[in-house]
Amino acid sequence: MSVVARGLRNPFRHRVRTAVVVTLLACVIGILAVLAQATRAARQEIERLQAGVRTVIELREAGAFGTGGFGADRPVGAETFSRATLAQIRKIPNARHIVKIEEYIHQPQIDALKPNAYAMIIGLPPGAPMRAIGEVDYENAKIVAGRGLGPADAGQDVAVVGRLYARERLGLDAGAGETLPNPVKLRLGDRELAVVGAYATGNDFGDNHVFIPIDTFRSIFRPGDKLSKIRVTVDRVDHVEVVTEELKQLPGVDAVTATEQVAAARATLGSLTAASLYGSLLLVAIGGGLIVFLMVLTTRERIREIGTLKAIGAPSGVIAAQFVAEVIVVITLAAVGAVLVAGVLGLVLRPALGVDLSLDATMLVSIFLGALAFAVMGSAYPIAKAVRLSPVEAMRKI
Amino acid sequence: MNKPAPLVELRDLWKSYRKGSETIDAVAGIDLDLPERGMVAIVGPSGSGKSTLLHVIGAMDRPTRGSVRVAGRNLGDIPQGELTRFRREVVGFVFQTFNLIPNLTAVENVALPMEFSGVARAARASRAKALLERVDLGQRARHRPNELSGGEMQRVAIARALANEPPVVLADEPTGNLDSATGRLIYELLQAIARERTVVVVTHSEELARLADRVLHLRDGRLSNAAHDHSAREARSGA
Repeated sequence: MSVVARGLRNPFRHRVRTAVVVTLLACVIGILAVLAQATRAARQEIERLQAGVRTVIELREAGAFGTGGFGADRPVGAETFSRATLAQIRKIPNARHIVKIEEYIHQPQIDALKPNAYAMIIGLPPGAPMRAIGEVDYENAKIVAGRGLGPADAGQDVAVVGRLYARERLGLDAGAGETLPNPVKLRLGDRELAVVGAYATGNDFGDNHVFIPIDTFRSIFRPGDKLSKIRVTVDRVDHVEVVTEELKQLPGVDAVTATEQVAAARATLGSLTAASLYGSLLLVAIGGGLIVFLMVLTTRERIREIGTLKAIGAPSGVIAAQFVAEVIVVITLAAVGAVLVAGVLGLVLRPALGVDLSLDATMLVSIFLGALAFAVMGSAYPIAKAVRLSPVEAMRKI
Repeated sequence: MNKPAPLVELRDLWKSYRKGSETIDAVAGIDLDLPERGMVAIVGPSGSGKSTLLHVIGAMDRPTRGSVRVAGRNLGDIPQGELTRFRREVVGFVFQTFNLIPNLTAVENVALPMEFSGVARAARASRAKALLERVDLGQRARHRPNELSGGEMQRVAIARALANEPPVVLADEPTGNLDSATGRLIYELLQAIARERTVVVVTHSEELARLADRVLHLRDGRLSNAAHDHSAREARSGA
């Protein structure tokens, strides 16, 4: 019988005890697997949040007024905040962190005879968020009837109107979930546009706009290269500040962001990430420590046997190989059990945690190799100690 | 005609242990020659250094001082790593508690030292079976230690000690865990083995020691003057 065969057979010497050890290890490894998966899912969620939270920087013409974006009305051809600014943005050193650039252009539509005297026409890339100018901040317009603008609307004579605008200027009462009467037409300049949707923000100030595709806007109002707003989305909240600083260096541009909110979001997400990391490390330490402890216990009682093997002439390498083979058998059995434990725990905890806890092959292999490393470490000390002893000293240890 | 060189040669042999602040001389200045064949019994009270002496002869433990020469090799000159090979090739051990590997069968236990020596699988299986036949356990070859009696386990241990055909067999209280009848059978087996090699037996039993060719009395780590050469054999011859 070879040393490896002996090593493979030895764990079954005490079946009940091996079963207990394997079960304990399986539980430890299985729980670790689930928690590692949960930690990874949480980190992914944090990454997603980081990508979405306060990563939009608003650019407007330097000195322009508030959220309205009314800058100095420079003549066509003398614009300082324009499509040329877009090219400059793409050249800033940290432009690689910019994942989206959206341009907006505003045109007031004033009619003192209407209750909604001061309406706003907004040209935007079709599909970009319809950011209505609210009472204190921008508000995302929610479609309540018809549809929003999509890429297929580029250059088309179509419009989405706010609920107040629809009521006061078009005579429509756009309630939630309604379809617009067909056809509804809207006249802007010399063009008649089809109203394809209506939106609501929750306040009349924000519901008093008309969103149209930016190319359509330019062909109607002929503003030259002028832009009212540019919104830049950065890949991570961590990069907002550095990109903002660089954008501020562009001539004729004010870069506006909610600095405190960005810092707060970054701090919160940073804390979550750190907690997740330290939690994982703690779990690995506890799990690893338990594996080491179990292996030390199961190996210590074999020191006398090691003494016997040495007495009858077993080389140290043979003894070590035999014990390593034993450890591999125990950990392999525990890994199989761990998959079962992790599978059951995953099913139980998935609804409670709200994250996907399915195990993948990479995770399983990593955990198996990690457990094996801890087990070898746990066994290595008592085995190495016993192998270094003389046979007589080893046999005295019981 | 030159006298043949002794197989085991001890000169001014000391083995000391530290116990707290006290130094205990388990073996204290022993000089001893043992021939190539024959059975030597070492007797003496507990703590007299019998087992320690056996362990030093078998390279299981290093002496504190003095020289040990076995089968022409000075153990003091052998590096630690080489002592394993020495134990494998030159000595065979028989322990009081048998020290069989519990999950291996009798034949696998006997084959173990041969595996360490690199003997081919078929050859070691064949020799292990032959050795078990010799100790009258041919029918129990596939049994595990927990399926054997104490006497049977000790016979398996003796077969294992002979596996690599060592010139010296060292037995430490081989009958200590056996009843007297079984113990006597084990001694007779060791006597038979002693016809072809040197067998050194540590025992408490004066009665069993009388079956040896030579009896050494050990007290406080020293050999007493009451050593009896061939007393048992002569007694048997005269009977």
